[in-house]
Amino acid sequence: MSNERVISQAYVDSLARNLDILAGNVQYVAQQVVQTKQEIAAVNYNVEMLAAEFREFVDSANRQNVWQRALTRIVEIRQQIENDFGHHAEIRRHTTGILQATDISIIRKETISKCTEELMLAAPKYWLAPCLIALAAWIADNKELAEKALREALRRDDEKTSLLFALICRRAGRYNGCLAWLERYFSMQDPSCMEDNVLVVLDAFSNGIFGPDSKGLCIEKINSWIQELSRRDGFTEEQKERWASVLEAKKESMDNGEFTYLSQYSPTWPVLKDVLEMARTHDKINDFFAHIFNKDAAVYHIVDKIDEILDALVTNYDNEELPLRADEKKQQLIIEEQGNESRALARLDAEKAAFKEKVDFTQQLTNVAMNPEMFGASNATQKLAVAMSKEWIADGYGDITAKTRSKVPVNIDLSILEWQGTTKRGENEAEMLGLLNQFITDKINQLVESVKLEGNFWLSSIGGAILLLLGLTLGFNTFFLLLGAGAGAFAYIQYKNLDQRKEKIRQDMELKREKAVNILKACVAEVIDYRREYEEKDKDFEKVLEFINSLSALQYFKSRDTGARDMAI
Amino acid sequence: MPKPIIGNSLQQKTKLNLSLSSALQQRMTPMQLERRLREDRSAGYIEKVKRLDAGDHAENRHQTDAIIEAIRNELPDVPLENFPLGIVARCYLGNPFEVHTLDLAGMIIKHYKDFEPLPPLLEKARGLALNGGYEFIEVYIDCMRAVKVNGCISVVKI
Repeated sequence: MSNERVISQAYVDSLARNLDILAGNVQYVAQQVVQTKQEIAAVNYNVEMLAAEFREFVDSANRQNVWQRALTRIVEIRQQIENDFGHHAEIRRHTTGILQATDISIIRKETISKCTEELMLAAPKYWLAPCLIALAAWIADNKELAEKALREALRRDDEKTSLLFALICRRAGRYNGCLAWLERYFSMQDPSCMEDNVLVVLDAFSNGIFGPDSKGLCIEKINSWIQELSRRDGFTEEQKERWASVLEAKKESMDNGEFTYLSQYSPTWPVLKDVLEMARTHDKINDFFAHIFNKDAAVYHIVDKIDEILDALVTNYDNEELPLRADEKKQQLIIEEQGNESRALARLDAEKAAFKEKVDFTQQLTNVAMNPEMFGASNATQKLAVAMSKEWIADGYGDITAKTRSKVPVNIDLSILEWQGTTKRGENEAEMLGLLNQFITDKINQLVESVKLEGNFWLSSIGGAILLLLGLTLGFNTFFLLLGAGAGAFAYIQYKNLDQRKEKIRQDMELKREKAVNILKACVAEVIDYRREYEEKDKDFEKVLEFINSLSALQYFKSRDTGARDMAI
Repeated sequence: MPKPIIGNSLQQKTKLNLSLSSALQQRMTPMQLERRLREDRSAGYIEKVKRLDAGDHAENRHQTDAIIEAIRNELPDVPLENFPLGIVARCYLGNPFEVHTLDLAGMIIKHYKDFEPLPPLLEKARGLALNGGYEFIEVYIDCMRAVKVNGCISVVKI
């Protein structure tokens, strides 16, 4: 107790007041801290803004520099192109000019010869220069010079020279020469790595722009590409599978309501439905091919198309020019993108990818046959593509049809009100009706037999008898006698109900029998209809196949002037 | 006992030929095999296989052998292990016969009645034989090849 210290109330109050003051001060400091934080955040924001503006300024300055450099560089490149390949551009212009001038015969042959020879001297490596000499010599009827120039042109660039002269011959209406050049051009193509422009030429060829290939030279060449590719492992199989899946996808679902009873009472229905849907698809497949081959080909403006290809061939840069042209393109894009080099390079890559894309010929053939619009091909090319793919189509189509046929159920199961039956074509209707009737009769007997007197009956009968006996032995005790009589009456009612219940079961089951028999008859009728329809629709396969097999690539390319099909050979 | 030099060498020669043929067959890749088995069947082969329906083969082992020989001649470059397991075709003997089969493993030709089950491996070709309009179905371990009257083949993967 001596250690205890007494603290006065006044001291405690003073302590509490001081604590309040301290708390107020702490709160004030906390507010100051919050305020300082806000100020720091504001400063940070301003610094960030400043940094962003600074970065933007630096980027802008860099872009400006890059843009300036690109402007300077593009001028340098163009000067270099002009110095090194300026004569190429001149030759290109002359080629188009000579062709157009010859069309209207307003330039003297001497003028053409003179200017082309000068150009030849100026372009020692360019393939188009000797072509121009050959063209001029041809116009001047100088065979010897034309042949010499041609040899040189072929040495410099065989592929481009061949296509150029195919186009020039076609322009001049020299179909034999045109096809000979075209065949040479096609011979040089690699079917596994084909540039888009080959397909443009092929499209023109299939539209008859190069005249009728009555000897089938070009068709033969194209066929040889297919054969070459077909030797590759898995290639043919892939094309067949593609066709199989395309044709299979044309399957349309049918409504269960068309076969009301089979859809309800046959466990085999899902398979039946599947195979009939596919059998009905033959008609759709027929329409698909008929639509392709009955469609009128689009009208082609032949000369415009040739000039378009010719223009592209002549104006496309030569291999030697390509590095400079690529650099020029890059600088051009940098200028367009206001000095943003990364965006310019991304665009350049995308353009390169689109330009450099090379395709597998037969892959393209299948694409065109299935979806010509997507690949910019004409209807004539689609016909040619389908005709050329006919073996794959026939095999793929044959496979999916065989797959469907293998699924056709030999036996059709029926399940009607617990009764199970099987039929092939409904030929055993009488037998099935007999079995169904027997099944229902057995069922009635079974149910009737199962209706028996229940526990209540036995309890009331025995109980009643005992009560009556008790009533008699106890000297005609009225109470027990009445109770016994009541129990007996209850037992009698139970017994009478038994017959009624059995009769009710019989009546119900007879109604079910009638219903089941009608269902079975309706199912049999539908089985007969189903088999008949399936067989009829399945026959359409042979018709479609016959049509596909009758296609000939040679048949399906347009003749030049009339648009009629070339039926030679 | 003297060593039979000549006879021995002849035997060796025969063995050598067999192994060469076997080596050639083994060179077929799965793709080559697939393409080879997809080739059209000859009219002679189809005709011989159609004789399965003559009805007397079950008793005549020689004719069974002749049909098997026809298959060997039709596919001489195909290794034996890639031969069909059997052939199933619609039976034209009339009711109650529905299909007949040639089981290549058992070398048995057999006619089957309605609802009479085929051996499990051949049963899956029953529907195709009955409903496809094909001359006969060659059943392989992984597929069925349905042969049309013109020799064309359609393939159903199992």
